[in-house]
Amino acid sequence: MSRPNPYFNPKPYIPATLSEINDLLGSMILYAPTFVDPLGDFPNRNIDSEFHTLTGGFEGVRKKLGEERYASLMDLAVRAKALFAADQDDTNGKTDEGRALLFEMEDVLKDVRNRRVREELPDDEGEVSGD
Amino acid sequence: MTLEQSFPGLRNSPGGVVVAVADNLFDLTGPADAMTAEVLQNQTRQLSAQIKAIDPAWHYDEIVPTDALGNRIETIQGLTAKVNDLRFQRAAVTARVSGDYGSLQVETLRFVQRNADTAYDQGVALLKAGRLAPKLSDQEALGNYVDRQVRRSLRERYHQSGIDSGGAGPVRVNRRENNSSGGDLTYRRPDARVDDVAFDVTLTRKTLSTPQVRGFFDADFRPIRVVIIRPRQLGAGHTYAIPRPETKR
Repeated sequence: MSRPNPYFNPKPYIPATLSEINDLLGSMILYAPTFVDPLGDFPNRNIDSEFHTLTGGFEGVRKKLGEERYASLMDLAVRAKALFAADQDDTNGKTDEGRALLFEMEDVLKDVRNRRVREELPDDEGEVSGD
Repeated sequence: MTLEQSFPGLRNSPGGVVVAVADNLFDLTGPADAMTAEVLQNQTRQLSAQIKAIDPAWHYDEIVPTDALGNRIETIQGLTAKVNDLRFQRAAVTARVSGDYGSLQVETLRFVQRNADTAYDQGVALLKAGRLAPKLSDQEALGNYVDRQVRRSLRERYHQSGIDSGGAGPVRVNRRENNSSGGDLTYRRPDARVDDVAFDVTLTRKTLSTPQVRGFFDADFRPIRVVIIRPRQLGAGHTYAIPRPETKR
């Protein structure tokens, strides 16, 4: 059995900040409903890995979101995933319904970030950026 | 290969001159018949040998699909992805073993360009189909989606190579770069930074007179150049490097 490759990290990257989650949502909006990477750089990327990454990101910023928003985002994620799963060929309209839920998630994150700026709460670099 | 080797003349170019990046650097315009499986296989062997020479502990983990008889099924797309992956791994191993970030700068540029091009096409298609419902103008929304997709994938790519792009190291994605030279601390956030090069993904043309670009040059990490990466669909000269302007004595 070969030793693990010291230069390869098999674990998925989980977004660590609100803005990184926002970046992930932008990527998901583009590549719904399958989320397959057209370039082949990430051959394991699919609907399951994407929603695992997204909900992992929500978990990581749970305190910043607050319990109510966290629960709302997790619920939106479950519903969006079900819609995309039911329209993998992008033919029955459910992809657009799922994408609308991703837009809702963007709005929730935007609200949280705006509130953090208003309240002058610092990010991990000590800057008031909304993160 | 360093950025200087990739962009001949960069080192001696006068301050502020914009140096265009040739399209074929990204393997976009090479002859299709050269992209045969054999050429790609040879490249993967060469790259693997080069990485092994840098660090004998390195090895390549891959799962290749096989047919009913156990023969490997390798497509041109799969081999191309493998070459790109090995190039990135070679750059990452070089950076970690020798502290030389030149190759990683080149591979970052190639990676970002490919992702920006693909995201642009996808964004345009969705906008035309009325499936993005942007709150901004179409152009702003498109640029925003391209930026976000590129940053997201770049973080993942670095992470996969064991590079922390969110810390205080020389490789960073969308992190604060301070300028402590004036009275008040100011900062800029390049989409990416690899050692002494800043990368900006954008749809609009930017020059040394753009405040954001000047801000990058003023940052404490003193970049030697700012690379402006625009989707190739925007035409000739879409991507270019702006060298640090010479300081008058």
